[in-house]
Amino acid sequence: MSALTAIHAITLAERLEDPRLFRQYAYIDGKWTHGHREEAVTNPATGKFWAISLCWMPARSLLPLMPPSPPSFTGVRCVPMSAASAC
Amino acid sequence: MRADERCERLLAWYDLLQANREDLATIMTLEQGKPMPDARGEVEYGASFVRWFAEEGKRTYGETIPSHIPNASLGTIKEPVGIAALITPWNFPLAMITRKAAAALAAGCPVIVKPANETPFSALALAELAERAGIPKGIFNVVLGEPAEVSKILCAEPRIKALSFTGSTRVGRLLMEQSAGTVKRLSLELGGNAPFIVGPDMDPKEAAYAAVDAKFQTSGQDCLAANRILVHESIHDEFVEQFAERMAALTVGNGMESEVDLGPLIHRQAVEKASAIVDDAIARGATLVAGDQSQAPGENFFMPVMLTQVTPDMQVWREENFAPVAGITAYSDDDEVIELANDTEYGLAAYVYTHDIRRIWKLMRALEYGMVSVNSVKMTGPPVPFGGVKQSGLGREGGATGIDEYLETKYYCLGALGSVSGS
Repeated sequence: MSALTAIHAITLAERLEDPRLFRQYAYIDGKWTHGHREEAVTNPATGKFWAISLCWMPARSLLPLMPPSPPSFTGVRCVPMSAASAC
Repeated sequence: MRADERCERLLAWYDLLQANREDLATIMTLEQGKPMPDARGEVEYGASFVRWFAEEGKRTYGETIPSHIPNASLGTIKEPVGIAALITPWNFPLAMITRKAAAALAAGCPVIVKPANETPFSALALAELAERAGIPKGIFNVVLGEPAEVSKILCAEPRIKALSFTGSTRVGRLLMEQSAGTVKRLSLELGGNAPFIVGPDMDPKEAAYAAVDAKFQTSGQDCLAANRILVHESIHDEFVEQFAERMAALTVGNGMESEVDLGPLIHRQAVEKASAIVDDAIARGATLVAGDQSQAPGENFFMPVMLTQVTPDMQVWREENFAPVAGITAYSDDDEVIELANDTEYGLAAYVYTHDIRRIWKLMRALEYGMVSVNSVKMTGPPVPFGGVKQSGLGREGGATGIDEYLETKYYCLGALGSVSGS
């Protein structure tokens, strides 16, 4: 996390009763996953950026990051991403 | 995981959404701009879909079919369609995720959420709470990236079996094209251009106040916003006066401050688009009754505008303006207002205000819309099928059929069972 990002995260964290609700990473296969690019998110009321999303990633890298073996949510047709193509 | 276990996890998620309502509303207001009371309302609204579908997931019944084949038993079972990609908008950054994800998860489908890049933090907070609720890893995922690139990858990926999108008709068409190669199950909640029809029997004040509510919620950035307000000529002038009075009472400002009714638009481009629509209408003969932009409290704000004498050749009539710009016109009879109301490529929602039961029935049947609300601004919620016709989309979200968007019907024929009485 860059210093600038950290400052904004702290600013927001002070506004929240539960600071852990402010997440900046992608959530993939149960893991908070860092992307390749930081992207500023603007507060429309002020026109200024207020936080940075750290989860941008090249599109082609998304699918390999998808759940390699997610637990079935039903027992049927919840095929692991890595195995689905074999079906 | 069994349906009742999925229900328990979803109810735990619902409880966490409720318990963290204030924080979720704060994040939403900071990234989307809507006033805090509206943000709190959206958290409630979004959570309500989680509770609804938690229960619906236990009722995905198949059926038994009386057999036409000797010694066979026929029926259907419902199976989850598979992994679902959910592409969601910035105007309702939490509820548009839960309305889709809760249905998919209840059906047993893992989801990949791609939220709008303007509002990623509501989606990521939902992921944090999903994890705490015990939704297994890999079942609820959130990704961000360049929208066009990510969408293209998701659409082309054969392992993803369903795609649900809420957003513009333009992007919806593109996603349909991109999904054709993998023949995905598509649910599309696209643009709206809602007519708000006021009958001659209505109290102008009652109708005008309702129209203001229907137009300016979320600063007009709502697919249900009443874009074209069609008022019977006999009460038009009084309606306009009442509308202006009610509109003048709206406070525009930072959504984090108290007593604010309308927040900013999402970004500067939205302000420029709204301004261009107003200019186009005036150039084509509309009258600007109210809306002084010099009063705007910041560069992303747009003061509510009322235009009268709007006509079908104007952008304000043809386009979903997604801004606090209300266009009003007069009509003379029911047949004319039906023609005017249907004069759009969109078909999401329509409002009708009248107490004449014959007029209500005639309009309700003649209006080419997926949803018609009579004498009520509020029409949405978990128990009802939300969706449009024409170029407003495909499929329905919510209601008893909402979970079907994520289910396949498998027919089975059990043959050679021997002679069974009644088969």
